Amino acid sequence: MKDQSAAHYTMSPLELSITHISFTISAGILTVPRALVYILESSFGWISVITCGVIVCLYIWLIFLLQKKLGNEGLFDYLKRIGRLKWAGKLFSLLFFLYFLAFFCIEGRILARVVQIYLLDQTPAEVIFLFMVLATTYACSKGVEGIVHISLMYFPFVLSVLAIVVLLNIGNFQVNELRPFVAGDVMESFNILRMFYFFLGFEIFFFFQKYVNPVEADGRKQKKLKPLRTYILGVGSIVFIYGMIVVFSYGVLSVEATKVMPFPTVELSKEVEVLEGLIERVEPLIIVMWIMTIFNTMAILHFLAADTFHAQWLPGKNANTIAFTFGLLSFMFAFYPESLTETLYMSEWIGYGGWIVVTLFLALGFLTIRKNSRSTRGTPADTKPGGEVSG
Amino acid sequence: MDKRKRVLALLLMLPLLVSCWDRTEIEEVGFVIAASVTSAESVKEDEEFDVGEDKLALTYQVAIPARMVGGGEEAQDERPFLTVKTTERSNFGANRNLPSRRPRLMNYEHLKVVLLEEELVEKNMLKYVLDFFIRDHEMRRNTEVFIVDGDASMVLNDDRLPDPLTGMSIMSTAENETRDLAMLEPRTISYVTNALLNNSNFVVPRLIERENTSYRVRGGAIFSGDGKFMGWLSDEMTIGLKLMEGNMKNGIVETAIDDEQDKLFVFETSRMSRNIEVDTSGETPSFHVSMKAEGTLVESWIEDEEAVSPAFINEMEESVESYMVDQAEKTDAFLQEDLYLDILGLVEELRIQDHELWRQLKDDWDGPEGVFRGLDITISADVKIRHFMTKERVF
Repeated sequence: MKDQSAAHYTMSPLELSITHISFTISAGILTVPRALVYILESSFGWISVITCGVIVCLYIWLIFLLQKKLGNEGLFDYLKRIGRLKWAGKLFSLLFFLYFLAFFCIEGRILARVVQIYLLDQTPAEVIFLFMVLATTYACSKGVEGIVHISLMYFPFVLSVLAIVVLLNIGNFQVNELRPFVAGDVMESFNILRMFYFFLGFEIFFFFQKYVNPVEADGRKQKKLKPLRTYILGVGSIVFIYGMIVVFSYGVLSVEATKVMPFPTVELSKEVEVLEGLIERVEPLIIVMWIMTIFNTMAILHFLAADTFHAQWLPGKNANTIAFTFGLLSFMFAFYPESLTETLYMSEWIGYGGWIVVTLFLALGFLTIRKNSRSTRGTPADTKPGGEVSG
Repeated sequence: MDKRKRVLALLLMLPLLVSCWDRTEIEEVGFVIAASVTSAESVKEDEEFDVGEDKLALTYQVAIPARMVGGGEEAQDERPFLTVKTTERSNFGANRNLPSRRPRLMNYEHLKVVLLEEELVEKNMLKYVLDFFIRDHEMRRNTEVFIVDGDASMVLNDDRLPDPLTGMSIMSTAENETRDLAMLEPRTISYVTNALLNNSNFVVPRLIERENTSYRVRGGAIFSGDGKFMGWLSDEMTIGLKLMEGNMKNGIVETAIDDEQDKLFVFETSRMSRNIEVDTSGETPSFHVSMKAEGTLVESWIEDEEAVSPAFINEMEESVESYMVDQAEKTDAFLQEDLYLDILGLVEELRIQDHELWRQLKDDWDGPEGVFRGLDITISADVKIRHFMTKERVF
């Protein structure tokens, strides 16, 4: 991994926000409508989506506050620097490593299965997964810069393909499927416990925020940039994208049908027929788009897990070895669940696990930093962060 | 070391060749355009279909692309398709009977229509028969479904000039429903599946097989929410249903003023809408269906000096209105008194307008003891004749 470049790398809040969006909407985009309908048994999904968005905003705000105290270093860097907190850094890097590994395996497994169902039914899932792992290993050898740039490049494509599916389905949309918009059991839609894991992804703010540098090359602080507002807008986009997909799945496929489909978004694209059959099949396009987002997410997971673990446990060793080991482990664990059903079931538990890890880590941050508020000042990393940036 | 790395790199590039697993040559694929599912001959007509024992008979119409180009005279003796028939206990099983008989593997990505035999759906086989056609990843969600009155496999053996592929021509025929009130809107597999999942009653267009002449797409088959075949919707009942759905499109009304048969005229619709009002103040909800149509006078045999006066036009409008209300009431009576089955979507309307009441009533809505049977449904129509084309009266 390119450690040297990472030390000088800076990104704008917008870039971080886009990375966050692409990181979050990966596997979720295919399965979120179904998960929602399972929980709600009716069509008030959009309320839950908004509630989740609000909670994510809250988390991001807290992480943002934390980062303000930390200045130019990440929480992990801080834990490592403070001698008596080293164990916490090690523990949490291990927890994150495991969480990201599990997440990575699930995403890869779903990817392999979807490709097999809709595109290449003879190709073994193992080969598809292997190919994916090789690609993400390569991507994360390029360091944080490479990872962020992948997100930036893919994002417009993802958006445009989703827009195509939604626009072409307007004709099939039936408002009555969604009506009544508000009725008796609306309170149930606030019970978001079982869908919140679709919104996990804001943990990258722990890792990447230290690169966000609202300081211009000449050392002046950029007042115009309002990072928090950009992040919140990013969450808004996630809510909007999920919301559109959910509303269209319900409106086009109907609530009951969404319930029995493993991948409603792909089925949504199968409803599309352009110009009386001129373009009959849009779903390969959707799947390709989706492979792009899921590759993106997997690369970020791969990078974060390997990078954090490397920094906390084996700073002396070659980081690429850890990335490679991660890939190897993922290949072994990914095929542990016996079926797609089991995979989807496990993903829920991994989601809960991740949520707990993130929350604990945030709490730890607030506890320790308040205590050590003096020692954060005047660290070498804190002085003139923008000075080193060249152009 | 260097050599080892290179070998490793080469090995790692192997997965790039994944596409080989899924290579299919277009010459080796047979595109299924239409499929019909009937029960095998061994199945007796008046007995239950014994799942797992009795067999389905599947007929596929497979396109022969090479014969589709050219056309003209020679096309008539060389049909651009072949039909394959096979029997097996399940759809997929039947499908797997074919590789041993035909060189080409069947591909369903261009499947246009699925024809189901009446005898089969009468035995409540609809759900099971459709499973394959929606589950398989090759299937389109907008393949159209028809219930065939007659021998479904025979329909696929006939070519219909000028559209020699029967599957295609059935689809185009079904699209003409905008011009004929007795034709139902085409229904896709997606629609039928959703209705079954939502447990809502639905109607699927009927295709009448007429031996050696031509088929006809008219009327429909009525199914309850759990996929039970409830009966045919006759041509006349279809008219009433389409009126009550607000679905006249370009349909015509052929009627006479004051029921005097010699004062015949034809009204063609250009716009139509329907509104359902639910009144939930009483013990059971009551519904009022109001239909609004506007259109043109397209043919008139009325020899009357006054034929273009506003009063006269009003009279014509009234007779169209009474025709519409009559038809709608007939269908309504048939549904309420004979079938006890709500295919008008009234329960949906109730769901939207009074969610609480709907929750209480939804489970015993249909059936001889159900709420629907005793509902108070009133129907009204409002017709406007906007103009009378290019001629004022009969000579």
